[in-house]
Amino acid sequence: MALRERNGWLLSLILALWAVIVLVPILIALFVALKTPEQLLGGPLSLPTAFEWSNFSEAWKKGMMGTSLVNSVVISVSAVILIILLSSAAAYPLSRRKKKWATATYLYFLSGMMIPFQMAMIPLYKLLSQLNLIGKFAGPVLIYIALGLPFSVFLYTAFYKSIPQEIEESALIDGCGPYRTFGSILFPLLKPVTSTLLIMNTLTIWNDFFVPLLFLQSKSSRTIPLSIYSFTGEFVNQWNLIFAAVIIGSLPLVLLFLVLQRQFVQGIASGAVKG
Amino acid sequence: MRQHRRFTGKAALLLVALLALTATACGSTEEKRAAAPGEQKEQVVLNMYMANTSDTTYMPEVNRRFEEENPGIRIELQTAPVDQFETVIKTKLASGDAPDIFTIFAGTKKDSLVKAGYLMDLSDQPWVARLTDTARETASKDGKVYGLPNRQNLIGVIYNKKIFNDLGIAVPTNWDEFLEASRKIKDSGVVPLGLGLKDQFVTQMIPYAMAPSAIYRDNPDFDKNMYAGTQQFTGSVWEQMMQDYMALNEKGFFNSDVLGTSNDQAMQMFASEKVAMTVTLHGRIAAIKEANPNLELGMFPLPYAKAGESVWVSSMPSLFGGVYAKTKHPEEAKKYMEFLTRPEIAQFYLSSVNSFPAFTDVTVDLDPALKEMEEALKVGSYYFLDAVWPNTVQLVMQQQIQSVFAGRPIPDMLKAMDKAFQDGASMQ
Amino acid sequence: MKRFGTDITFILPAFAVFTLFLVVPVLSGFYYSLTDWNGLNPETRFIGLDNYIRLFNDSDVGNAIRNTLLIAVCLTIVKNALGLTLALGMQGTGKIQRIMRVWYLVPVMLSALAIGYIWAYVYSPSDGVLNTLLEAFGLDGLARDWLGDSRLSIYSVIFVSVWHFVGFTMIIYVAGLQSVPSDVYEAAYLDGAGKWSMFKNVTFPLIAPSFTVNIVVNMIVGIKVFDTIFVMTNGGPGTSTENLSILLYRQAFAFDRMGYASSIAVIMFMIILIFSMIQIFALRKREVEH
Repeated sequence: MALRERNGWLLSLILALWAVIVLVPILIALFVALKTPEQLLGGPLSLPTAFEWSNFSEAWKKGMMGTSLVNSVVISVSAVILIILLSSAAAYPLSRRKKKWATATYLYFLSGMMIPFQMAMIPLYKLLSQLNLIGKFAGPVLIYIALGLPFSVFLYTAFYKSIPQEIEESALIDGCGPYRTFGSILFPLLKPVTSTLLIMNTLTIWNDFFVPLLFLQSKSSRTIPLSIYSFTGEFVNQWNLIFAAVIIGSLPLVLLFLVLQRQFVQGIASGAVKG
Repeated sequence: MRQHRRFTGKAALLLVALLALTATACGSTEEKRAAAPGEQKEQVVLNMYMANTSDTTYMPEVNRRFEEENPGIRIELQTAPVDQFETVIKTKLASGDAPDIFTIFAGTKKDSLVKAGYLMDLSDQPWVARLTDTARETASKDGKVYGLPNRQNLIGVIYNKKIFNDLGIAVPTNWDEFLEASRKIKDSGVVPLGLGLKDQFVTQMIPYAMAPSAIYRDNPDFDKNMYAGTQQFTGSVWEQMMQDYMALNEKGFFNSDVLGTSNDQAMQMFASEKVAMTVTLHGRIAAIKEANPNLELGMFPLPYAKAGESVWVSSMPSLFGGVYAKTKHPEEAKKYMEFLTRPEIAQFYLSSVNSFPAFTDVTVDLDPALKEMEEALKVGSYYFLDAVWPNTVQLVMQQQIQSVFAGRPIPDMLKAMDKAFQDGASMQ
Repeated sequence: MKRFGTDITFILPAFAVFTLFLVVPVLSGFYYSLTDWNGLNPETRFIGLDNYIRLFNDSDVGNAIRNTLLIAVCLTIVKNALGLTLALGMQGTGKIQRIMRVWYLVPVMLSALAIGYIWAYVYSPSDGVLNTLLEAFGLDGLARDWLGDSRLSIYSVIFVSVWHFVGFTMIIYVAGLQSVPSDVYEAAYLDGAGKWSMFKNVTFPLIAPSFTVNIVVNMIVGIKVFDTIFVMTNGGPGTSTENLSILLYRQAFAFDRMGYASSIAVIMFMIILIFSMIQIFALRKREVEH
């Protein structure tokens, strides 16, 4: 009700319609995950007659998803934390200085978004194998940081500009050093952007398939997308297990988002409005 | 000054964090393994990197038996989806970080690896003498053997016997009978042929199945002449083949919207008896049976021949893999390959993947559905065409067939294939 | 000078990782574009600009550039229009808004792999969800072979990409909108401003940074898009959905022409660079004007 009053009927209609468009394919994924192979022959829209919850436990066991879940968490968390730290720090002077070098460095970072990754694959593989990082988590983590920095620097720079310089100037006058000003005054103000970037980088890294395929090979170090792919074969794709694995693999992200959602709103309440 | 000190502190912290990541947080698997109790220190580890084909289904068991017999060798098997396998292995090879044994593909596909010096010459191995002629040929380049052939693949028509019996249709032995059978099936309300052309590799099944009878039975030097430049796709039997391929669609013998249907969907339609036939690799039989165990299946060669003419089969040995030329464990790798050629091991995996052997002295009991093919193979056969072509042709052909289904004229397709052939041949 | 020193300490860690693990590998990749490297052989031959000359005579490249631009422009327009609309509807901190925001972001949480699998079920021509639903509503005439029709397939793929990622665009607008203080709205409201004029004069100027971000980023992502096409059509039917990323990948790893593929990558880089420059310049000017 409240939503409709505020938004008008056209906007509400679009919102509702898109909600349904989001729903249908996800419902299908759920249906498929709950079917037996025989029921799959009934077509995608048929309801699962008996819910095969065992698909989930089978996918979990066969895909060794416990291990891959831990691996995905370790890789994503380390990479995302470092991306946030490095990019929020780098964007600070880049957004404040009006000098040529600052603009040049900013554009240098931005150029990272324009590179097709396939280009860098073979040289990157050579580099990591020289550093003895093949098969170790540090390899993908470093690559993800390098890949994640450009957009994060871009977004932080844009949002630093909406923070009035007076805030930090007064902090500096109060005797705060530049690092403390950054750490205890500016960084908290960035909360909404930080949570946005946290979500976006986590999603990209969590779902990435190619980097782990190239750089982490053994079963014990594989990540969620590799587990999902393990249910495809030359002649048989086990669709019910694939979809069960897809759902298991996405749940942690949904949880993360639910948690951050609150952070997000708090961040706005405490930070941006005052600014 | 104070600021600087603080900076060093923070920078050091970051650096430590990075180093910690590199060094500790992510101990490699080898380290973990080394620490495991009960393992001998001097164990040789053979690294295998395999495409996720049906071979990988029996490999854990074969590897277990091998390790049991050779306690000094441990096998580390890693697999990758077929789609991405070539990308990964090429990257590894180009970076000098290659596994000891890896999947290679028969025919010209492996040649670039041979040329770059990545594959070990296996010609002196005892099993080479036991290979069938075709198997040796597809595993060789310039007279040297570079891979271990392990089974023989076929392309043909897989059909639903019950539908054929109910409609009183006999297995067709020439093209007119095939068209007639398809018409009868269509009239009964069942789709005669199920194909999923959205997946590009499916587009080639019918031309591959046609070509042995249409081209190579009477003109075995076709490919040689292509390389010599005296033969082109344009103006060859290919035009007729493509017209007949398209005619199947125009007559409504394929499932509707064949370009938007995926291979999986087509196979599902077959398994749920909405479709009577499909043209594909014999390996699908097992997959279809798994989806619907009640089906009674048969397989016959696509009879692309006039009445009275003989029908040849599209058939191709597949390679298990090759050995990395610079492997640190050449003896162990060769030992493993030899293990795979033992008759009892070969019988085990051939029956598990339901395939014909690549060795003259191995016999297997195969699925009854394949019985008809066994006889047909004796008539005559030719390779899957990409085994002989330069590697540029196949992908161009696949794209072009999709385009022809979308309305592109057939001569344009053949021109593109000719160009791809010349480009590829000049690169070799 | 002291300030410059401090600045360096802020920038250096990011700069180092970025340079070592992305820029250097890419630059060596660019070098290959001047060679005939096949991606395998240790030896390569320096061939100058031959690859680039070849590019201009390759009809596949022309086709891929057209597809690339079509995809990028459509994606940018649709994602921004829809993303902003969703964000405007999702303003505020009420329960419904919070739930809906999460809901719209659910597709973003799926991998391209999963998206490919799921949408194959939706688009399947025979028993696909979309055609079945259209028939159920008596709209049989609208049923299509969504991925098999070579005139439609590119739009079908674009739609999936919108479905997948519009949540990102929305969330950036949400972040921008929430930095607009609510008293600004109230003041405007009291002044009797209409909805449209409020949007044009109050909301939009304040979310201009989000707008810049979304336009530039979506354009870049749109030019580079690879996964979605790779899993849905792999460029087909024929070459109807083949963009530069797919062509590059194919040339590099299927045709063993790493040198040539590298020159395609350079062209892609140039296209993105030109577009980004124009956009950043134009949008900056706009931001300043307001």
